[in-house]
Amino acid sequence: MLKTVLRQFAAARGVNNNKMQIYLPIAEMAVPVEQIFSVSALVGFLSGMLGIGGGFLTTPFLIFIGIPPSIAVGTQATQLVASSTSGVFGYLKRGHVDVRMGALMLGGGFFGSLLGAWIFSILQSLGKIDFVISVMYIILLGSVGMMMVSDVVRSYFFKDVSLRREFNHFRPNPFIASLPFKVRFRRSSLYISAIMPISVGFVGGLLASVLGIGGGFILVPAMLYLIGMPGFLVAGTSLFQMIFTTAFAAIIHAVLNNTVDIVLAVILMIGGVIGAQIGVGFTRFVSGLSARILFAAIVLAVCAKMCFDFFIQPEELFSTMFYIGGGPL
Amino acid sequence: MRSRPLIFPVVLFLLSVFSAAGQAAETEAESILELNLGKEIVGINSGFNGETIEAFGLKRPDDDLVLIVKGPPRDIMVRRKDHVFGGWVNAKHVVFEHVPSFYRVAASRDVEEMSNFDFLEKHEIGTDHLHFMYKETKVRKENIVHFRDALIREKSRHDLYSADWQEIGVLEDRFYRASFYLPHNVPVGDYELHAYAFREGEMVAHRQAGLSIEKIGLNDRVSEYSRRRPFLYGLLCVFLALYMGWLSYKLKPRLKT
Repeated sequence: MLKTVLRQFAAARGVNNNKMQIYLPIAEMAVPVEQIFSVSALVGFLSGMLGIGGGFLTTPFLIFIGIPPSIAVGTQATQLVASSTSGVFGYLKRGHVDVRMGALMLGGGFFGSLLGAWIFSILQSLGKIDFVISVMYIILLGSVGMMMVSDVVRSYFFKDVSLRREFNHFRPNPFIASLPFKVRFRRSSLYISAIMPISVGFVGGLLASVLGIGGGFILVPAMLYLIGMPGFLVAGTSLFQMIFTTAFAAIIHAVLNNTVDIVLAVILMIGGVIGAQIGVGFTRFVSGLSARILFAAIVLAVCAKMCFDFFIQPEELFSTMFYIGGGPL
Repeated sequence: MRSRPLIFPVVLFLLSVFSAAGQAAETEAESILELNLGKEIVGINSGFNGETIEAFGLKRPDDDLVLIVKGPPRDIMVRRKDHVFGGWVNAKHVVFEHVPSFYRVAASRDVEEMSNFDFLEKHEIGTDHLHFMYKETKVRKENIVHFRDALIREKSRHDLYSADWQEIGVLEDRFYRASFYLPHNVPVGDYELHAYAFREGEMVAHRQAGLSIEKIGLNDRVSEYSRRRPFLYGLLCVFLALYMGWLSYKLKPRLKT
C-alpha cells in the first residue's frame, strides 16, 4: 500500500513531463489528466481517513487550472458520491458506521439545507453576502479548530485517561441529557434524544448550504463533541450521510445549471475512490488522536487561508464569471 | 461611305463598353481583397488540444492588411473586491454584454503605424480598442474602464485574447497567409473573420468569413444529452459514482492481517 502512495506522488511529480490531455464536453476545455488524478486521490485519501469532503482542496485547484467555478463545484459533488461510497464499504465491514445516527442526521440535514438555500437567497438580495460568508467561515473554522486543538492537547497530557476515553468518555451536559424522545444507538453505545442528531444535521446542512462548502468540517466535530460519538465511528458515519447529501447536490447542479461534467467526474472519481480506499486502510495505522490532530491542522490551515484572503489586499482585485440567463454562473 | 454612320456608333459603343470594363477593372483593382480559410469547421473530439487555422488570399500590392478573429459573444460579469470593515470582499460588479469570447489580430505591419487612433477605435482593431456594452451598474462611469481592463487581462491570462498583433506573411506583395492558433479552451460556437485593407490609413476593402467551432462525436452527444435530459444525466452521474465506489471496494487488494 505504501508503494501505491509513493506512486501517487511520483505521478504528481512527473506531471509536466508527459501531459495527457483530455477534452471536457461541458467545461469546454482540455485538462491534464494526471494532475487532476493526483489531486483527487489526495482528496479521496483525506475523506477516506477523516470523513470530510475535501472541497477546500478540489475546488480551488480546478478553478486554478481554468475550469469555471460553477462546473468545479457541480462536478466535484459527483466525485464525493464516489469517494464516500468507496469509503463507507470499508467502514461498514468493520462495523464502524452508525447507520441510525447517520440517517437521523441526514433527515435534519435535508431541511437544514433547504432553509440554508432560502437564507442564502435573502442575504444575496441584501448584498454584502460575501462579507457575511467570509466572517462566518473564519469564526466557525477558527473556533472548531481551536476547540479540537485544546482537546488534543488535553488528551495528550493525560494519556492514561484518554485511552479509555477514546471509547466513551462523553458526559452529555444536563440540558442535552434531559431532552425527550430518547433513542438507543447501539453502535455508538449512546442513549440520547433523537433531537440531538437531527438538530446537528439540521445546523450542519444549514451552514453548509449558506457557506457553500464544508459539511464535514462542521459535522465531524459536532459528532465528536456535541453528540459524543466514539472517534472510530465518526469518519464512517460522516461519509455515510455524505453519500446522500452529495448525490442530491449533484442532481440539483445537473438539472438547474448543467454544471456537471461527466468526463471530469470520471477522472475525479477514479482518483477519489483509490485515495479513499487507501485512506480507509490507513486508519488501521493511525490512532484516533493523530487523526484528530490532522483534522484540526487541516481546519486551522483552511481558516488561516481564509484569514489571509480576507485581510491581505489581493494582487488582483477583479474576478470574472459568465453571466447567463440574467444571473452569474 | 455608307458604312461609316454605322461604324461610328459601333465603335463608340465598343469604346464605351471597353472603358466601362476598364473602369470596372480599375475599381476592382482598387479594392482587390480575398479571404479564404483552410477549413470552415473545426471539430472538437475528446483528444482536442488546440488547433491552428489558416487564413489566406489575395490583396492589392502596397495595401496594408489587418485580419481579426472574433469568437461568439457572451455576457460576462466582472466583480471587484473592496475594503469593507477591514476585510477584502467582492463588492461592486459590472456585467459586460456581447463580449467576444475569443479575439485575435494579425497585421501585415504595425497596426498603430498604418492607421490612426480613431480608425482603430471605430473598427475595434486590437484589444485596447475593443469597447463593450454594459448593463446598468452602480459603478461610476469613469471607473468602468478598470473593469474592462480586468476583463481583458483575465481573457489574456487564459490565452483567449492577445494584446499583441501577430504577423501576416506576404508573398510577392500580393498573396498573404496568416495562421491563428486556437487554444484547447477555445469557446465553441460561430466565429467571424474580418479582413481589412488599408491604403494611407484609409480602409479600402473589407471581407468577412465565418468559422464554426463545434463539438463532435462523444463530446457533442454528451453535452446534447446533458442539456436535453438533465435529470437523467444527473442520475447517470450519481449511479456511475455509486458503482465506482462499490467497484473500488471490491477490487481493492486485501491486506493480510
